[in-house]
Amino acid sequence: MNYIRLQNVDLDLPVGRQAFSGFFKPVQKKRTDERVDTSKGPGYVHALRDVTLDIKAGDRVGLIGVNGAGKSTLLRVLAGIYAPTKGRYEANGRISTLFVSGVGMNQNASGRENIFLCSRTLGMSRAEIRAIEQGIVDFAEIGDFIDLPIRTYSAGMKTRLGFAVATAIRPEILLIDEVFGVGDSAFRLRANERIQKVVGQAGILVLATHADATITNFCDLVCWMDKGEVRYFGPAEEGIEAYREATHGAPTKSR
Amino acid sequence: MQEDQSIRLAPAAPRTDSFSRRVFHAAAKYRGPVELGWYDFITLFRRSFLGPLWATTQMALWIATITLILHERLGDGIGNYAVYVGLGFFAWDFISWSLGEGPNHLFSKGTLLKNIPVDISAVTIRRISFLFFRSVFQLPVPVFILIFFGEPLTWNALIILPVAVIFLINSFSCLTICGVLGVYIRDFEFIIPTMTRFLFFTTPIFWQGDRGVRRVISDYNPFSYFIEMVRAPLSGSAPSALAWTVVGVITVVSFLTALWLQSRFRSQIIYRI
Repeated sequence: MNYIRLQNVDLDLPVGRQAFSGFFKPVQKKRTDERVDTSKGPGYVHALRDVTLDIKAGDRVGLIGVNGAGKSTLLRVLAGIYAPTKGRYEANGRISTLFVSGVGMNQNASGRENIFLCSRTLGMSRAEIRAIEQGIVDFAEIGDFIDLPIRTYSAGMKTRLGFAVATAIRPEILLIDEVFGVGDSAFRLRANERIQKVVGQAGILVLATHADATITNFCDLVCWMDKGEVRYFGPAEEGIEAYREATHGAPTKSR
Repeated sequence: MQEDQSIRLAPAAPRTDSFSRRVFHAAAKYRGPVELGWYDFITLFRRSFLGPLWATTQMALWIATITLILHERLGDGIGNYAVYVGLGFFAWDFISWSLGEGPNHLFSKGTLLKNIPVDISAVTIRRISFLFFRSVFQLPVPVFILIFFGEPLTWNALIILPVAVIFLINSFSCLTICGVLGVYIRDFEFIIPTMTRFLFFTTPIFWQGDRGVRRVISDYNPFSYFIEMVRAPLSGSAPSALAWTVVGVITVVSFLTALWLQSRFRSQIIYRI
């Protein structure tokens, strides 16, 4: 069975050395944001604090929260990319991530070659790639551009290609970070369909977004992140409502 | 729509498998990175006219220049000197690139490592594969020199095959150790190029460590022995016992260090990139 479990997860991101930064002495000695910890050396950013989540098979979770609330960081922890500083992380199921478009792509290689490069990076065999290649080309609707180097592509075309590859492997756990913004509305519709199909019945979807409509379309659960902590985890409707009230003061129409 | 065309990946190797099956699985796992390294190499030159032949051309130019300028000082005939420099420079180029790529190779794949759950070792293998194919394209230069100026090859020449494996293992250690250290101590990015330039002149590549200060420098420089491992078999003799020992000890120690570093710091590397 697919699942992701986080138990009291803390994540501290080290800032790293900043040589010769002393020319600009900090004006404000006292930190007001408790996430920024510069008490020792270059310090840490406490990106996540005491996050406990139990995501079960079939769950579709929408991650919401203001910029810098820890949504993307949490996605990376869920993907197993960032190891928690404290706490436990457990996941079962093949994970596919859609965080940034164009990951693993080579600008000087053609679209077709990039399908090969990306799929190979994701661990597919040559035979498997051959089986999905035409499907990806059709889905991404890149047409004759497929044999041109992708530096000639528009941003939307690159995103479509990346999306098509990442969803072609039929992940059991699909993690998405706001890639919906790119691409025209027609493609967005088809992307929605594809996600529904790919994730299927038992799959898990975690989606970080600022668009309420996306959440209502896809998710039955909402995880509201605030300053690295989970403020709410439960049914989508109530979560969005509570989040809207907290950020805008009063309930508003979805953007 | 492409429901029938999307596929499920084969499951990872179960831990209870026999050793040979595990080796097979590991080899299958690293076939991808090796191919990706090849692509990294050929797409590097994609927009140029000569393509990957630039690797060959660069090597030929270096060796020709050094040979023409310095052969008289050694008084050993231009042919012998060309063989000496050709083999030495070919081996050195692989070593210096393994060192030089080290501190940055994890950083340059930062977007990949941060956005897709891939193994750090897969990224390292990909880089070694890049370096390997680069060397393959440079290989015609020393081969050409050997055919025209070299001594006839003996059975000792076969030693070059294990030596190549030793070089690849050391490249892995080098990329991993420099890569991990480079993530923690960013100064390595600047230390290593300075050091390789220094080492280029203190390793017997275009001079011979036969007497005096040169002898001392070459005897105490571990890289001399790596160069000797390539030179000796192709010049008709076997590498000395001392060379085998030095290279063997370095290979084992650095490989174990690399494996330890990789497992110990794996999780902390990613968010420092």
